[in-house]
Amino acid sequence: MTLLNIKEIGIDFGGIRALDQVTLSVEKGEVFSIIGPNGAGKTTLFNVISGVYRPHRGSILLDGTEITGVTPWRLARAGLSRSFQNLQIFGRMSVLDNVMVGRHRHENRNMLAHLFTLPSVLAQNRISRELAQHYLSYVGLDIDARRSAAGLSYGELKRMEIARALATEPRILLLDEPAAGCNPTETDALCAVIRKIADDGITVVLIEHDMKLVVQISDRIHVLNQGRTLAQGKGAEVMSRPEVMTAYLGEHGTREMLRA
Amino acid sequence: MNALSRLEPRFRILLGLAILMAALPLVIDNAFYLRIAALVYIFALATLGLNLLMGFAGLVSLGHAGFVGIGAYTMAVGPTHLGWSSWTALVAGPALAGALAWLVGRPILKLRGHYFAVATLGLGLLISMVLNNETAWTGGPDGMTVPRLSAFGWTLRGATPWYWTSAGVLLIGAWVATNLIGSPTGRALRAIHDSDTGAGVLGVNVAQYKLAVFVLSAVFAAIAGAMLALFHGHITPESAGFMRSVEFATMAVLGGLGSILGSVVGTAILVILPQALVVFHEYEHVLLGLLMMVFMIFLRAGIVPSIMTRLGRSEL
Repeated sequence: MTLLNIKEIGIDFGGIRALDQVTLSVEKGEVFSIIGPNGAGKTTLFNVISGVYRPHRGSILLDGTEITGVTPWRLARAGLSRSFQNLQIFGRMSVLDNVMVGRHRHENRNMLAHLFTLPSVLAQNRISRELAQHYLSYVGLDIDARRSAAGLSYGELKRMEIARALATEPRILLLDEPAAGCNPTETDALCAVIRKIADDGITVVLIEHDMKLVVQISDRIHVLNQGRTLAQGKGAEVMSRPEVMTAYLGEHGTREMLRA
Repeated sequence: MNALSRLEPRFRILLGLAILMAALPLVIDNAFYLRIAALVYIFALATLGLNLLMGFAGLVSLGHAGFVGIGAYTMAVGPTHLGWSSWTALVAGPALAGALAWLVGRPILKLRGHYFAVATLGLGLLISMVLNNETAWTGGPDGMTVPRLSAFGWTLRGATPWYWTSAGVLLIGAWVATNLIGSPTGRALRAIHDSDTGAGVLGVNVAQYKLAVFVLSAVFAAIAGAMLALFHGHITPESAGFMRSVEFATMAVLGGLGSILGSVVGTAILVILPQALVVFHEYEHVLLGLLMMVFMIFLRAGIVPSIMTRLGRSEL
């Protein structure tokens, strides 16, 4: 069953077609990867899907509902959350508080109750705290959660962001280069986490440059180049297509590759 | 001791503040000093409200004295011209300030950038201009008399009753602020301060929270204004002027953004220091500026957070 349906999306930045006629659909429960060389429009596509940018053409459907141009916070409440390539960390908050913000959409948001800390607020805080701890260990981040988030390593922050997004209990999770800056051991651990997320029924859309990770984990792969769809298919087969190789390596590189 | 260590750090600070307030009259049993302390508490309430806005949502208001003015002048205009009781005015002022903040904030807070600071600057100037020029209602630059607050035949006046009243109100304000910070709203606000994009994708309605904290800070300011009017028994447009707005922002930054105790400390320094420096006559302002520069160079995060960090503690 199709969860996310993207139809002929287009967006321009000052005359440059950043995305043009991109159409794709993501099935419920799968790991769907978007790859492509630098500047292909992968992150732009994420920004369009998650409501950060409003597309100029085309439409997006989430579970059959039109979500084109809907603001990020509404999308989050509808069950779509994401991580960022360039991290959006709450640096002055503790690791635990960072993840607790992820519980926001499930919390009672009555500000009057908050001003006077009614017992319900305390109970609520306790539940959010426990769940935040749960999501931190879910992504394998076993550190003192009271530490300031600013003191974490890059790889730890990446995982904290995933825990934070998971805390919203999304139906669909967009991960923008989660393995960037991770060492091989961390990448393997991350691979296991993403698999676990998908096995728990959360649809994952992934942007990633680590091809080993992509091939290992993806149910389907969508290749973008210069804002357009280049190819789509399963696993290693997509990567070996000549047009995909050319996009990454150029004409000359592809000839060399094929000869080797 | 066990009960104390179980208390969250932020509530420990609240307790410390309460003890300090209770102990102070034992040391300074002098009407003049008690009045200054009461003034510090009243101003600190406005600073605290502004600090919620600046330190937690990351928004700078340059017109906060305008809301103080609304609270103050409602205490004067309501009973004098509209026949309200002082108690009605005491509720109406903060409500009016909150409503105005909501009206002004709604369109601006959807935008990012410096629009907000500029818009509040304009609002503050506008309020101060109205207070100066609507002479028939406000008495113009000479100001107007504020009837005292009384209940059951007892009138609130004198240094000692004012000391306890202002201390009590500030303590309630600090308690409310402390509660807010530890709640889902507080987490959302702090998240917005660090990254509104990050907060947005987690389901935080950024514009709505900015508006809510702006309204709250306006209400805090107006309550402080109402108390200020009652305390002095007379009010002038100066209390709503631009310089006063800058002072509030300075108090918050000096004491420490995002610090409840810092709001009180910053206010205390800016209220007490000019009084203490009077002996230097014309060098008073030079010294005041110099001292503040020294503070900001060596305690960059503000007095209270800098000291906390040095002690290896966190206020939150």
